[in-house]
Amino acid sequence: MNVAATLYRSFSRHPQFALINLGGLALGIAVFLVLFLFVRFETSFDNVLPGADKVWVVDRKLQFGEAEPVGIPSRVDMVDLLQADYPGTQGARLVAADATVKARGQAAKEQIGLVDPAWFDLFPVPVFAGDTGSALSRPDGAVLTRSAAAKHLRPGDPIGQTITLVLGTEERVLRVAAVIEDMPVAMTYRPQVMARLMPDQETFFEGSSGVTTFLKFTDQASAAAMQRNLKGFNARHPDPNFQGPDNFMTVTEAIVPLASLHLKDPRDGLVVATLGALGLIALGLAIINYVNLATARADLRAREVALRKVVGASRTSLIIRFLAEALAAAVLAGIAGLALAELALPFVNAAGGLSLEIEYVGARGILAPLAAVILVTGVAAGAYPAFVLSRFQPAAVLSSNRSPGTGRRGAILRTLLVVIQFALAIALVICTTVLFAQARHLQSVDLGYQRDGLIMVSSFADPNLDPAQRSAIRRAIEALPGVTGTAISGVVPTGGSYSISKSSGGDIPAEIDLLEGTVGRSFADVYQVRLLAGRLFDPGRFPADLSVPIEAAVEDSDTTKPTKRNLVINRAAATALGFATPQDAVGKELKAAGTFAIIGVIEDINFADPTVAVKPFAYALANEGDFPPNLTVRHSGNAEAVLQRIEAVWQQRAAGVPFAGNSVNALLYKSYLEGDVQRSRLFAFGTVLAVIVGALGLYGLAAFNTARRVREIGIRKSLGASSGAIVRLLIGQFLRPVLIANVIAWPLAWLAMREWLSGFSERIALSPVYFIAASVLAIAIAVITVLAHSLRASRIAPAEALRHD
Amino acid sequence: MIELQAIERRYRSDEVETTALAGIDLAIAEGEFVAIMGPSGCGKSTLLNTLGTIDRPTSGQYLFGGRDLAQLPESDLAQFRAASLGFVFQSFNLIDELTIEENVALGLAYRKDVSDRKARVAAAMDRIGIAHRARHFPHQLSGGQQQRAAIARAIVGDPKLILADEPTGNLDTANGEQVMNILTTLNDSGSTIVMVTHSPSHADMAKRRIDMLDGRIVASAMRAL
Repeated sequence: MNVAATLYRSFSRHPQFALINLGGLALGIAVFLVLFLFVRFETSFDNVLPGADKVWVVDRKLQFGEAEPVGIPSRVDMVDLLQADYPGTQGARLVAADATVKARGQAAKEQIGLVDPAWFDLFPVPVFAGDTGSALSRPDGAVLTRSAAAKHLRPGDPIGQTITLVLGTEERVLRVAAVIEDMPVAMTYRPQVMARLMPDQETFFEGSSGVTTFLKFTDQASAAAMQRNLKGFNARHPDPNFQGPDNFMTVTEAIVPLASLHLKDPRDGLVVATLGALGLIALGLAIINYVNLATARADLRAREVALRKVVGASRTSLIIRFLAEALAAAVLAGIAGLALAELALPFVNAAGGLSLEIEYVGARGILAPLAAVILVTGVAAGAYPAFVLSRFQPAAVLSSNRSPGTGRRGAILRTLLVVIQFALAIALVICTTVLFAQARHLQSVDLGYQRDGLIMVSSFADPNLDPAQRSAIRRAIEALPGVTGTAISGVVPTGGSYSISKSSGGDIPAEIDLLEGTVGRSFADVYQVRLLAGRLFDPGRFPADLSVPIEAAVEDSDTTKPTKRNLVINRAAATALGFATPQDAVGKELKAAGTFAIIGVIEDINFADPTVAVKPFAYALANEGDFPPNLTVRHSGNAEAVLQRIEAVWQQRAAGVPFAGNSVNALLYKSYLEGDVQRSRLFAFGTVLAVIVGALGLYGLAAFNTARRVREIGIRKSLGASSGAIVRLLIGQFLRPVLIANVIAWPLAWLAMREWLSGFSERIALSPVYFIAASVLAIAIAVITVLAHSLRASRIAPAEALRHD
Repeated sequence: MIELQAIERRYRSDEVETTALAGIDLAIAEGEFVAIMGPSGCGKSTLLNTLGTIDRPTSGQYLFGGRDLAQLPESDLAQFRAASLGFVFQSFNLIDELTIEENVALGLAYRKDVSDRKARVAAAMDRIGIAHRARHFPHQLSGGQQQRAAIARAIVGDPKLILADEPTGNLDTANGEQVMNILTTLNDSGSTIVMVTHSPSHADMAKRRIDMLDGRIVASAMRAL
């Protein structure tokens, strides 16, 4: 009888067993496949286009004194300078911008890229129409992706159609010269509309990133040589923009592989590694199940093995047979797993903010990895049963009236595997709840201002609005129902603009890096900042409270301006400056970029990443109009409704400028929290399924163990055991390994989560509740899983049970 | 002590109905030693299981000390078995994972009213002569030793009735004799015993012999003293 027939008969005789065994394996394979796709997507970032591994990015860093270096745009003439120093250097620049594209009488925001004509040598995206080689040789040439072409152009031949780019306050009319295929999603830089980078757009303009320089090398050695050459680059080519006094500013240049950018943040790398490990764990749990159930059933197959040996089967032929059976099961499970993964992928993509897809053909096809998984799964799952079963001595098996099976050793192994499974499951559940609790915590953490009921109108700062338009829009917004106030400020949630300077002198000897931002008069009211000591800015004390932008103050020797201006600092600044209490700072003189008096101290306001500690910050009052006019609206009631009213006002008064506005909560979520939440969801997806796989295994094992103990149940009942006592006995047998699993899971999860939480300045405490809750859940799952079998077994008539063997 | 009236037991599978007991009337007095004989399938094991309340009659009355057991719910029957019965099986039915001592203790495990369990277990093992094997597992013992352990388990709770289903069926002659001697001694000291056996000589060691055929009692005879 061949393997397929054996498998089929075995499955049709024990459909429940087949379902558990294959279903669990399929589920494990599905989880593994999905997370494999995720890991491959994340790790293959920027490595999709041919030659991508030879592209490097110039990494320029600016360091103020001893402060943490920050990344800054590269020099606009970087490629020219390098080509002069090292002829043959191949490079291209990119200025990425979120700019308005006007076409067909409509205006829409688009990710655009101003690039050098050589761009397409470095990023050879397949061409759909036209010619990218010559497209940007003309200053008015434009290259669009197919999606962008469909969005902005008239149907029909795209080549020659015109579009208008709004860059800062300048408009450029462009002619479409080429359309390229959509760029792979796994690319860091993927502008949708590309135009030639012109000299007047090289410096920073509204909505742009500044220049990023890409270099292409023929091999690793030449990249390494360039890395060494760049060490002396700044000495050879001093940058006049960064010539601070006393070596206050240090600029360094280096190159990094393009492909290393995506997982540059070690936390991202950790997440990808963790999710990859989770995929392996899920698969491992499924394999453990298979081995567990297979060895358990091996006891039942002992007679079959003995008979085969009697009729002449060799040990090798039996090993091959059992391996083949396991492989055949793995193939079935693999196909089912692939189907499950296909079904699950849309949901996983939605929950995780991903765009994973399963490809069947080509270099990134799923079939080769799937075949590998099936092979590994089949061999891993089949090996132990094969070697144990084939060792049975036929005479002993056939003469015994009890099945010899794997006996005590097998039972210990099975218990051990259950312990491992549940330890992993419990640890995963603990980690998942901590992940979600932390994500929740970050969404509600005190940021030093009242974030609910706050809307940011980002398009208010668009350079194409004039002051008169702005004040008209602002007045109209203030008059809207539900709006209780508006504020203009340079600093806003998710960023805004601020400057950094060294504080030194005055009444305060401590030298610190002080960030300084400007705010308008109603800022404190609208944001509901909390005063700790001193006072806030008071429009009545004009002009003493008034400051001007720091750049202007440095250069400006105009003595009509007040020589000493007032500042409100945050708690972190007061502490960093060496004051024991906020009150101590009030009234002190501070020298930074100018001379200031500290009039008040407020609670730290965190406008940036809620996961990162707030830096020392000073707020200066300024004339509205003297700094980037970011508009924030305080409102009551539903944010969506107010937002719609604001947009309606906008469309009436500034139809030419695309509206951009959102609630502060939504912006914070998108900027800082969404990634963590999405990854937590992926983690939860893996965890839930891993737990299900574990529960399936336990269910199968409970079924088997209960069947094996039917006779014992009969004996116990004849001795007067009640049904309740039997149920307690059977459940207790499984609870013991689950309880032991807790002892392993708790420290594991504790260590992992302590490490992970240490990456956050705002973090939850690792409360015992998470651990206890996970254990209670695990115990509940274990009890529910084995309860059905136990109840059924406990009701068997004892006389019948005693006949069982 | 025991009165069976018109006990019937029928098994029904999909197609056929089998009658295992077809109207059994039987009275057993305290202190009796009854041997039940008959060919395979005559219903003797079913009768024994019915007496042991591990099989329920389809109809009829089972009075034990005046109490109608046929009407009791399963949970009460479990208590009854724990307090009043001791079983000895042909295949010993020791639990493989437990030591001999633990197996014997199982005879008291489901009794709530017992104190001094350890001493009683030790006493029962001593009485049957298995105490030196207390810490062994069943598979380390010979068949005769295993059956003696099973008897120790049956008597540890001082049952009113000992039910033995072919207790010597799996034993060689010498071990079989030994087990029979133990049972006779137990009966001499007051235990009521009902035993199913295929061996006429062992049946002769009982005080009364019942012959069964096709679910009925066909002969009942007291041993001549």
